[in-house]
Amino acid sequence: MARLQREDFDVGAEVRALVKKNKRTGAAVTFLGVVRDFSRGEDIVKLDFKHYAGMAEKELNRLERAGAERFDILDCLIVHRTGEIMVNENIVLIIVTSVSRNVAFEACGWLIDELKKRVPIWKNEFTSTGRHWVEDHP
Amino acid sequence: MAKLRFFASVEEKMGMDMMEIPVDGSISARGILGLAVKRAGVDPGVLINNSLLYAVNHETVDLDHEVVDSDEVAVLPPLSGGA
Repeated sequence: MARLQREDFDVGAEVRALVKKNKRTGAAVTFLGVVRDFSRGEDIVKLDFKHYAGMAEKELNRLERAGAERFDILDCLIVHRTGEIMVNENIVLIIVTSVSRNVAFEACGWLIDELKKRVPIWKNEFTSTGRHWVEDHP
Repeated sequence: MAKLRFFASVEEKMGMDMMEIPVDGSISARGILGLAVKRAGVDPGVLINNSLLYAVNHETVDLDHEVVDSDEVAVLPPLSGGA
């Protein structure tokens, strides 16, 4: 079950919990997105993530199911934070477990790409000179 | 009343995050958004342009989708979740 939450998450604990769900797990691939201190030539102070409550959760869970149907994986989990997040802090975690590694790498990449296209979440970048909504897909 | 929801850059251009408009029978999403921009006194392109996505009751739709009085219509600017 995907989660949207303000609070930080513990990557190790999340991975261990997903791995323990299935004794056939041979690989756990993670994508961890964090706040970097620059964007488009400007210094980033912080990011502020807004979402469409109700639809965002629905789309995240739909995406997890789509990933499980598209790829021969054992399980996957998406956790996305909302609200203000500072430089070096965690934004999003995607974990994919599978019997062997290749499909987990592929599924993990697909899930973050699709998340950016499908889930109604918006990023407000606060820089040293102002702020603006990010409206492209780098 | 149909409820219209605005987010992120669209919310800022509209100057509000929500608007309620009564619907007698049904009206297209394009039609109700046209009423909304008139009421807000903004350029139609704020709510109707190719970069935007639309949802009714949390499901994406196109602008020809028919909206009824109990619906929630959301205008979604380009998405930017993830890292």
